[in-house]
Amino acid sequence: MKFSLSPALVKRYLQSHSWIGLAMAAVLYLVCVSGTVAVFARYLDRWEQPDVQEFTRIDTAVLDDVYRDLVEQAPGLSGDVLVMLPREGIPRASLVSSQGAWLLNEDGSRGDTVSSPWTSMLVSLHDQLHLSATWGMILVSITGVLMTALIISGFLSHPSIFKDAFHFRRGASARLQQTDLHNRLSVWAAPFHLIIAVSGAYFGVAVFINAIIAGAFFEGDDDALLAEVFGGPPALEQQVEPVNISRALENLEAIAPGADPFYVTIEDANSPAQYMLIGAHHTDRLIYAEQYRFDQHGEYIDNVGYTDGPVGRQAIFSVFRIHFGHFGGLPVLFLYGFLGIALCVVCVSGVNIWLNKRKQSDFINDIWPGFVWGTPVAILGSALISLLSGFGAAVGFWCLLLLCALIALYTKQAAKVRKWLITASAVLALLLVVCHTLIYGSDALQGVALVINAALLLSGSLVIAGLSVRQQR
Amino acid sequence: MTLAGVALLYFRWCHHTASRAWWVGAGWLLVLLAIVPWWAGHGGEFAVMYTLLVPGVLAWLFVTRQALLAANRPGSSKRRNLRVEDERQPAITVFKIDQPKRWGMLLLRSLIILPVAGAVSLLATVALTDLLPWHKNDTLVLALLGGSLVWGIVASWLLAQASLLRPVIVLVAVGLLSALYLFG
Repeated sequence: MKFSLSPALVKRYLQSHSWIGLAMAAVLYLVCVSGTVAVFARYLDRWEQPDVQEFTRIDTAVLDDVYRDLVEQAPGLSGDVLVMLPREGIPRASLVSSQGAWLLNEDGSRGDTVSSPWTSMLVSLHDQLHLSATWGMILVSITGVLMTALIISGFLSHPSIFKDAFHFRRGASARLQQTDLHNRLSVWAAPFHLIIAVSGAYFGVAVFINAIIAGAFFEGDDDALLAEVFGGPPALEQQVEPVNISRALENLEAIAPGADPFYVTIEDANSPAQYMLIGAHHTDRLIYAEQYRFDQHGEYIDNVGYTDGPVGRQAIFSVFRIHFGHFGGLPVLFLYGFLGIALCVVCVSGVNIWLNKRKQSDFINDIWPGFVWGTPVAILGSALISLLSGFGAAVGFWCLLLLCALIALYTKQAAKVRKWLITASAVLALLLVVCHTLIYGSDALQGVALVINAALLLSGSLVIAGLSVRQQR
Repeated sequence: MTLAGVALLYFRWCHHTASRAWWVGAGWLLVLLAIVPWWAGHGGEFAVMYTLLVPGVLAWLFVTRQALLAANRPGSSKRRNLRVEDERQPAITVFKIDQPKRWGMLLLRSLIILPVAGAVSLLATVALTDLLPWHKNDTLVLALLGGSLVWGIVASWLLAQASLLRPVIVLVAVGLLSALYLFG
């Protein structure tokens, strides 16, 4: 396939592609790496807190007691109360309210407080780069916009990219290999890149576009806009009583037998307007959930319309699962993991191509490998810090990343630094397994914790073995 | 089916002969038609996702094969051993790190382009989607999801312009018209 763009325009698109890529490479890399790991967040949560009762079903009758206990202990309870039910990939229940967040035992009693600081740190890095929620999300979303610009300019600046779709000059110079890697990964994973860029940009860009839409069509009323897009709350005025969750769940089974409930939210809890919102999965649908609404007695009011409402409402509620690959089970998670790593490689190889093209060498040549290979060190190191101390994941991450970059800058030996940092990552992976096992004992050696520990052990050992074989050669 | 489609594309790529030109069409057709069995097994929404995502992974089987073939080809090690300077192409002059003035200009340009492109793109997207004869909810969601895509396209277009004067005039005009339609 050939585009009929003039060579001058192609060159300008190449320059624009290079400029955008270089300007945002570091941020894009961090967002991509953390996003790739965050795809597995539900499993990392369980690894981080393995000594918790796990079960696939919970007796709905005990949920009424859970809520009643909460109201009795905190009569002034307000805001929303969330009860997460055991579900696919997360066979544990939890209670989240303004009073705190606890894991629930199978009998409904409260267990430990929900605590996965390292996974939360990774998710927060991906969502908002550890900045304030709004500004961080806007910055990350602009990264999504620029990623879209990179995809467009990338295709327009490489007219023969489809013609060379299988070309890979292994054994050629480093620059040519990096170029082939960059272009092949970019062209074949382009649909994934575009999906991730557009769905990722939506979360923050929505702040601006909501303001325009609310101003133009809803007289500046944001709530009216949200009600139009996502559905408005039911107008209720009742004498406050403890909500009957079990009755609502029983009614749901009769109303929507195919629905698989996985959370119950008590909206405006403890107020005359309180109502229950049951979120349920539907087979083969990309929507995060259909939301079924019930009054405080558990009587059905309506559904919001994510399964059968306007197409737009169904589409907007599908963005989350599309962005994070939370559909189709483990195969899709691994597909997203693979394509996510590919996106990280595209990001790094793009900068490497530029570095290899330059005739001179300067601090960027030194610091870039430190940053790239320091990121896994910082991720694994922060996990170890968090595991041992229970806090400091974010501070640990940034300090370690800075340290790696400074070491690279100071030593000025890119190849050596790369090797050191890869070795450090492997050692940290092994250390994590040892510490995790020492702290959690047999809990670290079963279920998801065992799988993750085995993966860390295997990958750490393979990397060290690979490096020593290479050194012997 | 997806694998067969990608394989056809690959083998056509290996054998550039006119008699096999139809392989390209057939390959892409197979990749697209794979939506049918996906749909039957997992429903329409998952089918679209699988049809878009799976070829990108399967293609790597063939890219890897190509890479192995290239590595075993005589002379590949000779190419690898060339001095780096011998293979270096002239750098794109615009990105020389020792030209801070040029970097500064580019940075300034981007800082102007991004917000202008963003404001106009979002205004125009909301205005254009509102013209569609659809349910209000559908047009709003299309604007919400499409706004960032349009912003990305406009930003890449603007950054590739040699002179900004005419594109900025066009953008300002589009932005004003959109604002007039929405708020006038």
